[in-house]
Amino acid sequence: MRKSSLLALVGAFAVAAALVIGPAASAKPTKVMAGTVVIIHDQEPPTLRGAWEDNNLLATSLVTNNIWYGCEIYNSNAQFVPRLCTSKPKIVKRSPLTIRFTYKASAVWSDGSPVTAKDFRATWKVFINPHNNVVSRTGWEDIRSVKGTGKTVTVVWKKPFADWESYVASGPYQAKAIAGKDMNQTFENSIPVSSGPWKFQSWQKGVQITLVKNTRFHVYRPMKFTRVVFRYILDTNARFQALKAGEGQAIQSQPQLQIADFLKDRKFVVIRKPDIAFEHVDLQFGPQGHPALKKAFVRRALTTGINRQQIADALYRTIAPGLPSLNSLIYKPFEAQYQNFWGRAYPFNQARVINILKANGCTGGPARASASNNDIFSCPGVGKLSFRFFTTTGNQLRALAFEIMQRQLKSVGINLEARFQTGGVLFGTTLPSSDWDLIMFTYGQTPTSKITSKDLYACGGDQNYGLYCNRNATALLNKVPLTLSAAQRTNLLHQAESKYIVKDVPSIPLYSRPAFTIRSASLHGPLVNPTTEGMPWNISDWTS
Amino acid sequence: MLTYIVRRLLYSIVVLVAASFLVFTFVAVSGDPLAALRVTPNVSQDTIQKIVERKHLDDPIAVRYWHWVQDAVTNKFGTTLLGDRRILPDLWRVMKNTLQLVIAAEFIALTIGVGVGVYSALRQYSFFDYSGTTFSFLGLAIPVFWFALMLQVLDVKVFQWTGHRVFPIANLSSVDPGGGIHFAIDRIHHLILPVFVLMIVNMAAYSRFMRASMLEVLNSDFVRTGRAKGLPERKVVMKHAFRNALITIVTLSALNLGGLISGAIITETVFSLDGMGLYFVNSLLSNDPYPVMAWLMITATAIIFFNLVADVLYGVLDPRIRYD
Amino acid sequence: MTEHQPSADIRAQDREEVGLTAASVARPAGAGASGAMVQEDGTSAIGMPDLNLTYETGVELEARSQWSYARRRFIRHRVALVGLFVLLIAAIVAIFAPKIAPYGYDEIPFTDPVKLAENPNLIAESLNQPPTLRGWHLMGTDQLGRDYLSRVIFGIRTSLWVAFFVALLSTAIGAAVGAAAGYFGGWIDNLLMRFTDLILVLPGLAVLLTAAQFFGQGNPFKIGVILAFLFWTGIARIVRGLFLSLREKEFVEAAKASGASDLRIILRHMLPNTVGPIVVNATLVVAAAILTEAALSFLGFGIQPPHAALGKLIADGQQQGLDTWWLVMFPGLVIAIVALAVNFVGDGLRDALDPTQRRIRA
Repeated sequence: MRKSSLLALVGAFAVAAALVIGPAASAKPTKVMAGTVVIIHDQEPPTLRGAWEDNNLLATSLVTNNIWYGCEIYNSNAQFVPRLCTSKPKIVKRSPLTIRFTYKASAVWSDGSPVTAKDFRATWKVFINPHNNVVSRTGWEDIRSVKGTGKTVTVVWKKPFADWESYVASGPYQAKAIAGKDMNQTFENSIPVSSGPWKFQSWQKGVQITLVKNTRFHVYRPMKFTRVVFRYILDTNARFQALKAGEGQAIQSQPQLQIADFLKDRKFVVIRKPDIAFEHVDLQFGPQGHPALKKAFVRRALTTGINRQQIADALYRTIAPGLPSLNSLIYKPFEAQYQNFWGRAYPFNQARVINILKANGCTGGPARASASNNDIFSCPGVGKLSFRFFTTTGNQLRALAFEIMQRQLKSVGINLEARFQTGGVLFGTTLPSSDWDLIMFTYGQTPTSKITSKDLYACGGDQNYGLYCNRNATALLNKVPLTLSAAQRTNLLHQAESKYIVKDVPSIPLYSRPAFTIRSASLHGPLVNPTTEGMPWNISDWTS
Repeated sequence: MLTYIVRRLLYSIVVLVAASFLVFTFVAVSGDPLAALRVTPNVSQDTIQKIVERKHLDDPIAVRYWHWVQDAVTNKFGTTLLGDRRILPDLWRVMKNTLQLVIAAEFIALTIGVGVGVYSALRQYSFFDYSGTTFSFLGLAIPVFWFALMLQVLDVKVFQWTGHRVFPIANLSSVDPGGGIHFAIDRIHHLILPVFVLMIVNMAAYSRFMRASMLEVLNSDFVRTGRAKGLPERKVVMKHAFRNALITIVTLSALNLGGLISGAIITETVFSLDGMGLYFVNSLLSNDPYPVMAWLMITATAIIFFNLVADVLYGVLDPRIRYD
Repeated sequence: MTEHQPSADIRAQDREEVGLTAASVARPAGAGASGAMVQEDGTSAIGMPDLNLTYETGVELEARSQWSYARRRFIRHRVALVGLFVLLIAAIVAIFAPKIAPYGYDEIPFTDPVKLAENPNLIAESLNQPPTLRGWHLMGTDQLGRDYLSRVIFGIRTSLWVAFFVALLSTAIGAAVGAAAGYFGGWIDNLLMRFTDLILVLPGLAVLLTAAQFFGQGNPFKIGVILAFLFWTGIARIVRGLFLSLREKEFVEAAKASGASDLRIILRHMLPNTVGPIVVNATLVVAAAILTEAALSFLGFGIQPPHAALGKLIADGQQQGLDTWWLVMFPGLVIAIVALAVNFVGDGLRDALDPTQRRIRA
């Protein structure tokens, strides 16, 4: 090819490029069409059928919570506030537990028909139908009957059910829209009606979901924007770059190191709040775990050897300075009932670790805690204190936390072997098989998760993969879901934790994760909502 | 030649079946698709057990494989394990997106690569040649994920300084791309950065290869003969050398096309493009064999087919090749 | 007059060059695009020695061996020499890493009670520091305050180890398979080539995921084995093509006639003639392996913390944006330099081992 031909080709290419880029670049990208707000999210829903076996995702609830609007919703402080209901649902009878609530007269669907008890009953029927592949029937299957035809709903439960409010508050389907349909196929890619501030308009798969203002929504202030667009960008770096470049105006995010960049940028506002989810390290009591973990002194030594405050300081210095370590497995620091059980029982003390181990006959470790130590303790009958530590790949903060812990424990003669696995392998194979020693991850939690703490810490609990079993604790935890009084529940949980769980150490709480919302400075309104309502819970209050 | 092709096709079917069984086994044993459910609160073991039974997750691998084969043949690749979503519509959509990206990148890489390679060969050991060589090697040495991110960061910096976002950062389309020709232009605009990233590596490789090929041909007897005959240099180069050197580029490109359909995973991940690569990664990480198998059937067929095309082309274009 | 034909070996190894890098990560190089051609006209890389002896000046000239000619040609290729020198330095750094590195690769200063007692503000002061002469942190510190120069040095060790191991193993396997297929032909050839097709078609990520599940993770040796398993197909096709043509040559016939066993013919007579393309291909695999391992870390597989590997360092370092530019720049520079060096050495080797290249100058 001659030089001239080559140059001609390059020239043609450049001209073509200019033609495409020119007009596109001259458009100012900072403000999308007036009246539209773009939210960037990190995961795309697989379908719009929330609460299904393949779809228990926050990504989905962010879209559907403002479509299937509830009697009540969680506000930023994880407290219920009434929306479709005239007031908080009331307990009219304690036994059998009977709840009554009334939908507002102004509560209508986007097609004009009113929201009634028929909708709530139809929803209940969907969840208890064995043909439907819902992710969980808990709660719904404990309802004996749903009575009412008009705006007032009366729900009768089979037995005392402490978490009744979550179910009663949830947004019902429209009975008309689901009549006669196979729920396993409905609402796959679209939803025809809405009782909330927005309704579904379109879904460009792989790119975005568009929602428009529901003009018939009057139970609360209507949305000021005409349109809300969720854009899906999976890669973390790209997501934050896109926000910086104005491709979106708001984002709610888990802790990521990239957030530090936005704290310094005056064009953005970063809001931080403690999340309900928390990071923890579980210990294995079962036969496939390390035999040393069956000894209480080893578990206590392990806990004493981890400086949790130091980890929180080092990792969250830039994005959440002052983050405290977590000192309870059940309550969070921002909750009134929070008590410092773990900090009091296991203050960080490296000399104490060595003493405990030595006092129980362990040998081979360092005489004194030292940063250059490589000697590992061996304890009588259980072998070397070298534990397989499992956690997920792809999460840099978690990886760094592990490296710090590894270093801290090595100084006192305990070894952690890294076993990073993808989420699918870790949660699908490793965790349920109970073939691990230590495992670090986060439970997805709701404000009422503590009521079902038995699933995690009671003997034979559904998610007790560490096989921890303490009869006394179990007795207390099993009572909790049947106790209607919040104060009594707190009492039971405090007892279970302080008397048994803290001493047995089935799990070590690390820190309560912060949750973030980043908004562009021109957009006002978004707050952090640590529940599945998420940032759009107060979409009506957003202005730009 | 015909018998050769037929024989190859027959053997290819065997390879396809073997590959499908192998990959099915890999996916089935490397993790549990019910992973997310197991850590969801309030999910009873009963629910999980029901899914296990419904989807034969407890059966031996061979039995599960057989279920898949039946599903694939009778039900157009079937549905996903969790949620029973149809696979083919999604696969179709991501394939179209990937083809746009990858064919554009290949075409541009080919054109520029060939041009640079030829010119480098004609001016061997000149400044152009050495700088071409260096840039090519640099193109081959740069980690793609870093390069893609740097382009995005640069884009953002330009935006912060001038207020103009020259290229979109991610995704396939804008919020309001419009219809018809506007949609197409918007799509092209979004693909410019990803195509550029993909193109760099391919172009570097093609230019190196073209250069070497041209050099070899330029040093050959028949070119020397042409020059000795008194043919103008331009004719020697374009008509004889270039054409012969092109033979292997064509076959190489055919081979490359086979591999292209599997998607450019890293580029698609960084730019969040809804394509085959991302589809594969998401399906694999959720340990669902069905979408992975559907993906595999398409990509394996493409690879095998284009391998055959390349072999045949090479045999056809280069008269010295003989097949028994 | 020495006979020579346009050597398909150049075609082969350059095709290999393209194939190795034109594919995506899911298909580590060597797969979709390399050497699928049947090469029945390939010739030996090294021709007969140039017996251009003259007695005009009465000086006795010694006949040189093929290797010395090749060596001389290589040495005149200055860029390749520079590449070799760079690789030598990298090898020294890799081998003597524990002695060269000023700190350990996993020393976190603020977990050291002694250091913390001296400076309670250590966390704020030691994390994410740019390069400085204080404490000899010539490449700065990382997100946990670890000395980055040490981490890069150990990263070179890990990455080079994996890369060269992959190159060696994949070359050995590929050459063996290719030689067998090319020499014996017939159904052996068919079987081996279809097996190669099978490996080509397997998605690399699926293989890696399964391997990680069953063989444990993080061990550079295991990663090397798995990557080699995915890389060998390229060299196999090249060697096969070369053998297919070599097998028709007279010297092979002669060896057979004199009663040499198949193995001896392959190893002693035919393989030396394919050394050129094989070696060049191996150098390309090194570069490709470094990058693939880097990409593995990006996707979450690969070397486990706290070990350092160059690619992982980049992927981790780029999370904090341009503020911590040193976290990305230094490992990236190292990867680029090593890959360039390897490619230049490969270039030089190819030029040196090819007798048809007329104009060899620096």
